Amino acid sequence: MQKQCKIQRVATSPAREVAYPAVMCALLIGGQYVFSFVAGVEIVTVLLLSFCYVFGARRGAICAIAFSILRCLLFGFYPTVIVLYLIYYPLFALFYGVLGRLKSQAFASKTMAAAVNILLFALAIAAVILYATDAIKVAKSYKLTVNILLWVIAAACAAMALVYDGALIYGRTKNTAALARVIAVAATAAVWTAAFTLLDDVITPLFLGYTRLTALAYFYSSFTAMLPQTVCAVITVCTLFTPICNVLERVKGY
Amino acid sequence: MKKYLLTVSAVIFAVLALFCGCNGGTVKKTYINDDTGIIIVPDKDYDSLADYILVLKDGGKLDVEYTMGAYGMFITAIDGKANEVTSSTATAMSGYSWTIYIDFVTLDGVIYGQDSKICDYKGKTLYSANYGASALPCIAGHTYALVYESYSYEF
Repeated sequence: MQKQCKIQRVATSPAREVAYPAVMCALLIGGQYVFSFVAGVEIVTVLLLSFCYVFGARRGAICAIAFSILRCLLFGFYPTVIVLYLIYYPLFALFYGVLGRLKSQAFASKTMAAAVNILLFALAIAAVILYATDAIKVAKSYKLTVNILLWVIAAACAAMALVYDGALIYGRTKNTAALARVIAVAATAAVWTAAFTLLDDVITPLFLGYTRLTALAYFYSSFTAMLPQTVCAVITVCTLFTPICNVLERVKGY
Repeated sequence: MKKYLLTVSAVIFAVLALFCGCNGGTVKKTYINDDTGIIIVPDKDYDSLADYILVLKDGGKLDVEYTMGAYGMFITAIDGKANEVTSSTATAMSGYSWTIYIDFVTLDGVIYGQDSKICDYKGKTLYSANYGASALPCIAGHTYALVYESYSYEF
């Protein structure tokens, strides 16, 4: 005789459905405003990806769209920025919402290990090649900073790959999967952060009708924002992703 | 007597040359495309245009006000003419601001000037600078223009 288990789904109340993205949206706007005074530092990436990871793609996308529009009240209504945000953040929410559905053990699987290693290796190699070929043509006053940041990114990726592989090879504790998860998420956050600037390098010149030379200058100078933000994203995700997720899991559980 | 006069003249010219060298180059107030403009031509190289502007300010040749931010010097006023926003709504913004123009587009592979935003000064094409004064190289003989121009954006 087979036992039939009835799974009772407890629906989230409409008030909570509105409150979760609304509160996170307020936190994102507050976080962006506070750090807007410090060049290259931002906390939106880690906050939003943690929210999407715990609460899923749908709520993450709602929060992302609300954030993209409401932040304009503080920072101004610039069409290029609105378009950029409305393309980037819903995709970002979808990605981390899907990633959040993976079981913790999946981050220590062979497939994930291969993907994370390839990602980190590609990022490190890209940073070294950009440095070695002197490909980023920016003003002399920015050159040293750009070169240092390229090395920081290459070193951070190498360190993360070492820790990730070391944890998978020698790790015997249940924390191994958690550590692997943090590094996998940090690696993808670095790629998403770089992609944000690269997307802007396409949207803004197209929207404003830049000439080829002006678009190229815009592309080169965007690295002065992209590199520190990428470093910042890696650091904030490595340090804050797990505690924020723990807090959000508790909020979700109430 | 003749030898004495020559020596005195040489000393006077040397002191004058030294004095001019300390203040550096020429600063000329003019109009560029009907906008108030200041043409600057340095007589020697400086690390950046901002450094040279500070030399001119200290020498009393340029009455400039500025703030220093994450991207270096930001010019807020020259000769009492300050940046101002005349209108700001959710869909439009207009006002006046000091803009830097330079007479070169690229230098050592770096794109410093915008070929899409130009102005003309005595038959010479000047390009709107992609960088602020702190990141622009200041090279002897090149022409730099600070132009108080109006802007208007519609979103």
